[in-house]
Amino acid sequence: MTAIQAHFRAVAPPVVLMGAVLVLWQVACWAYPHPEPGPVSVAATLLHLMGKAYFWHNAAATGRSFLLASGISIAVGGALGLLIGSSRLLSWYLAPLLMIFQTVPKITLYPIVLELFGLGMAPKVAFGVMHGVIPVYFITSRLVAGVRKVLLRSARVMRLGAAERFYFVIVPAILPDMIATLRVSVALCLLGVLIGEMFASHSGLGFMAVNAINLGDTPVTLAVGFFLAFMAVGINTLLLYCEHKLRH
Amino acid sequence: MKTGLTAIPYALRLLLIVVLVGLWQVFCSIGLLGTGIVPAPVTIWHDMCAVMGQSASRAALWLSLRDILIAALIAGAGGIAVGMIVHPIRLLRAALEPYLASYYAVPTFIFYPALITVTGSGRLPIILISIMLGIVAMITTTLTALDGVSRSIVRTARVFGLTPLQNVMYVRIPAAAPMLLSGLRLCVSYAFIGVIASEFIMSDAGVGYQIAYAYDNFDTDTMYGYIGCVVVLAAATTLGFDMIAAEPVKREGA
Amino acid sequence: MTENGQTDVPCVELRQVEQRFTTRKGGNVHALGPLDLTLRRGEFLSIVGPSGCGKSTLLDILSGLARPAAGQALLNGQPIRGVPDGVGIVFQEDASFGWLTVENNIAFGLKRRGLARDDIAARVEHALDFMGLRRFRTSYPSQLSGGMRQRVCIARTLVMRPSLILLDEPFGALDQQTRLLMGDELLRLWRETNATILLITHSLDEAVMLSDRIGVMSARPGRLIKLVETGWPRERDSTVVSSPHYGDLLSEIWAPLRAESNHHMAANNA
Repeated sequence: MTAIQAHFRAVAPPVVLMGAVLVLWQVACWAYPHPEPGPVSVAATLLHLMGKAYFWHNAAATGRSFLLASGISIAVGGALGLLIGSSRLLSWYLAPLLMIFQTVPKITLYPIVLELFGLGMAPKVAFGVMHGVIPVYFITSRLVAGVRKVLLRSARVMRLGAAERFYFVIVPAILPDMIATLRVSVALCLLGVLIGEMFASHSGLGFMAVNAINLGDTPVTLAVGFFLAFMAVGINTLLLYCEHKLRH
Repeated sequence: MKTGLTAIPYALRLLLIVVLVGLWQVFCSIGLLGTGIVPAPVTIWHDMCAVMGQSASRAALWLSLRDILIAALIAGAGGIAVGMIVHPIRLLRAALEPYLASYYAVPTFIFYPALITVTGSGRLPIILISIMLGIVAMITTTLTALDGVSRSIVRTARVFGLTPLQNVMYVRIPAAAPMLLSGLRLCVSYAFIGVIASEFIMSDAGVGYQIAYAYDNFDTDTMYGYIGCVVVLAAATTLGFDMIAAEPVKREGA
Repeated sequence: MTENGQTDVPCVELRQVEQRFTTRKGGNVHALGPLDLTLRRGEFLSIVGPSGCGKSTLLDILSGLARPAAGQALLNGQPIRGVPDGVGIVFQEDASFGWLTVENNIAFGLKRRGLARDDIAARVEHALDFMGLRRFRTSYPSQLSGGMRQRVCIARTLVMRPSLILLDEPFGALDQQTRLLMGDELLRLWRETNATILLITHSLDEAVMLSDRIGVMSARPGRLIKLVETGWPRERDSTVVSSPHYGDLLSEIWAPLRAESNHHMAANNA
């Protein structure tokens, strides 16, 4: 099998599935006249939107907040995970607290976030971090605790200090799995940012969507939703590629 | 003596939470945390009691809780079923995998209003959106769990001549049980988020609606009362789940 | 130096060493000892014993990963505190670093030690040849067989030029043929490096084939119940298995071990 054939085999099934769903949807729209827009009109709306400057202005606002929220979540959650995951004592005392925070539907805390951060970019980023940071912590700490003991013992016998152990053994050992699961946490950051935009902001794709919802403009809502879905799949594919590069 | 030894860490863990809440109270009392930002725990406790004292609020809480449970159960069972069906069909799985992987980056709520125009308003779209939110986590977990069932177990089952259904019921599900349980926990927390967030966005009943309503009317006491109830409820559910889920893991470790 | 390459200078001395553990449920386990053992410099000593007899605990004490609860453990006359210099250890499980190529795995310890680049390169080249890994230098461990991965771990330990090499069932996960061949290689590297080797194994054949002396341990708490001199010449390889003396040695260590294992099983069933 050539590389192109292999590539085709990987790409063809999802594309065919998506095509089938879209065709079914369009056919359903023609067959049963309905207020819901079909894929053709959603695509037309999206193309129309993509020609407008304000759309890209909002997309850029979402992108900025998303990058910032992901960066903070990974840095803080990763550090917490490394620290707490490598100590049984700390995990015992701190893990339940973080777990409780994780279970709370963050949206209920939005009045508090508004009080603390006001309107604008800060509450969006805060929402993104609130959604992403604990999953990153969980993943990291689970991976750290799961590093095979024999590797840690080897590191000790080589007389590596704690910092060296982290940098040369624990971090490279968990990195591929880390990226695999970061895909999920980064997605949660985007979700958080969008929720923030829907409730606590006057810019961004989330704000556009909530505006369209309030105006009952379903084609725009769906167009924004699908644009976000494409972006999400794109980010996901990029991270998947990084993961494959890191795995041997 | 032995039980006494093992009980101490649990007690200390509880103590830590008590101390933290105590510190929060003290900070609020001496004005380090402005009461305008976060009220003191005692205040929230009073708000919660006031909320729970009204039968209308209890009904709102119950309504949300009921729908959370329904959504979580359907998402869990449905996710396991879909996972079981998709797992052996390689082509179908290859077609679904990229969408499953990036599913959670898409804010499902955006499709909630569109759903209302199809189903009409009421509890149905709320439950549906919560199922949509949770079921993919369960499908993914089921697929991963089935991948993790060792080949020797699968082959043993084949040697015993089990039918495909028996194989699923007596071998694959029990072998994958610990992971499936964690998937179910995800379903519960997604159902929590799904129900309360949908009530928040567009609804006329339930806790999410009550919080939004209280916020819009500057009724912060009621708002914090409801938020407190949701936090306690969410924490209790997850911790309860953890206790159940921890059992088989412990047995494995012993 | 005697004719088989050993000296009478002690490398490791254990005096009345004991180890105890507290289990998670608060119980107390007497894992090891009291145990007395002296390893002569340059000797190849194997330890065999029933499962759970504290063999690995002994290794942890020697490598400084654990402190004995009682007694003294000396390396070259100095008490062992922390991981001592000049001790290398190879574990049963695969300890190769999956994220590094074979040559980077081998160079890992040397780089952390901050050696000069030329020196590192020279040592790695030598180890690649010595362990027959040259073809795989740029491969990653996941592309290698279990035996090859274990060679990587041995090479990684060897380049540090340890004077004491501890082997914790290094061939336990390998098939019989590979074990025999690895045994030959182990004998060769022992001769060429003049290191002292302590091998922990559950394979009696391996112990008899490789060692100058074999220590038989009792069931928990592990004590040394028999010490057998094999009397093999320093120049030896896996062909010793066909000598009549081999069978004698095997039965000599099997007799006490069999009694001990039976005793252990009976105690567990009681």
